Amino acid sequence: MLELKNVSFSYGELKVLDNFNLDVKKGECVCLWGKSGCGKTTALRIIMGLEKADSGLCLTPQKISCVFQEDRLINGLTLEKNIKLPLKREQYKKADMLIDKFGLAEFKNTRVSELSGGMKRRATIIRALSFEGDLLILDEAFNGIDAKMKEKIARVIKEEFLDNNKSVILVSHISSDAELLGARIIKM
Amino acid sequence: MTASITARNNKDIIKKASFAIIAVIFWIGLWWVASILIGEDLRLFLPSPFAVAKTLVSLVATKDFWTATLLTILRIFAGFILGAMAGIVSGMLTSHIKIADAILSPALKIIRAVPVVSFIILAFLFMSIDALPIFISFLMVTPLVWQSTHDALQNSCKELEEMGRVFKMGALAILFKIKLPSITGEIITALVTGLGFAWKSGVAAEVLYSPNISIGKNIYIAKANLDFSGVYAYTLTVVALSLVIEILLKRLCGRYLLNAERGKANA
Repeated sequence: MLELKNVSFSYGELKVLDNFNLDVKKGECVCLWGKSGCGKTTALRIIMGLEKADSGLCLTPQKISCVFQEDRLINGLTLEKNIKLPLKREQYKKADMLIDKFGLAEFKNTRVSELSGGMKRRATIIRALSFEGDLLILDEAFNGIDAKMKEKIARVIKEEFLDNNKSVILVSHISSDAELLGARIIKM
Repeated sequence: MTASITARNNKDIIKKASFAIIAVIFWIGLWWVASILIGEDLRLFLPSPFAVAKTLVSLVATKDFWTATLLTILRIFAGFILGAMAGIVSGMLTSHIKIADAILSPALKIIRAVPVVSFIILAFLFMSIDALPIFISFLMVTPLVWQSTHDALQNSCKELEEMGRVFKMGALAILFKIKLPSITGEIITALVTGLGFAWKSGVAAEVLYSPNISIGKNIYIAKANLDFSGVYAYTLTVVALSLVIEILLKRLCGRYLLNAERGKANA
């Protein structure tokens, strides 16, 4: 499904990844664990094709869903429009279902600037889940989300991704997030 | 949630209006006191607010006043709209195409730095007097809108653009669905500022070269006749028109301006 072999990457003089290896199998959830600045987000950016590795081999799936560390929403647009912005028409139905499921139905037409941090996070998760990539990347995705909602989201991720032989890469500082998804922890 | 936001907004509007009224009363009062203190001999140059109001009322009753006002609005608006369009298009070009950036950016930076009066004097050599205020307003608005569009596209859209790329959006979809909606707030803020510049510079061009029927020509004639009440009355007209058009523009684009004030994108 995903393989990084001896991947190295530097920002100028600063070496962020040095011969980094990662192997994620189909239907597997992996949690990248490590202190700030250890290269977790850089590894994710290389996987998503947003950065090019200086050296090494990167085999990544074509279609990747991502919940970025930042919300990456447009304040001038409503919650629904933000969620559906990158989606294709056939994915709208799923988005509507998840908006309902994650308790955002009554805020569909509210501009995101008027929503709480937790609601925005849920919106970015719905956007990623509705896109139905072969790989789901969750970069600090659960920040600001309460425990009950986390469980609900984790259930959907298991059903939609892991049970369908799709993989998940999680970055989190909270060990319970990794446990929730039954993730294999990789220390960086 | 919506009801509480509406109530808060109404309260804010009343508070803002009260402060605006107090400010107007304060400055008119100060003007009145100054016109009394300056003495009879110099009052010609600083007439009282009441004398100016009287002149304004008599001007408003004439057809010439409205014709001049309408033509000045049309000239300045034409320059403003052309400048806004040129600014947005050049901002999009310079933020995406390196060679366009290399060619256009220095020119626009120079235009922004050159004193407006130099342009007014030089442009006179190449165009008709009627077209001059249009051109000068255009020149004032273009670099301002260009800079805002360019900067917004360069800096604040990067993270949203990355999101679009990861979600396999095409270049055109990224431009129209992500970039333009997310920078509308910045562009409108620049347009509101540009409108003020367009008025100031456009009327200055009219005063210097006096197109046939214009507020600028009327200001010039009033000054030549030592009718300073007239100069103040026309100046107040320009200020009032500028404010009214700014308010209309803000109302028209209020939704986006609100977003711009709250911080453009949540990236």
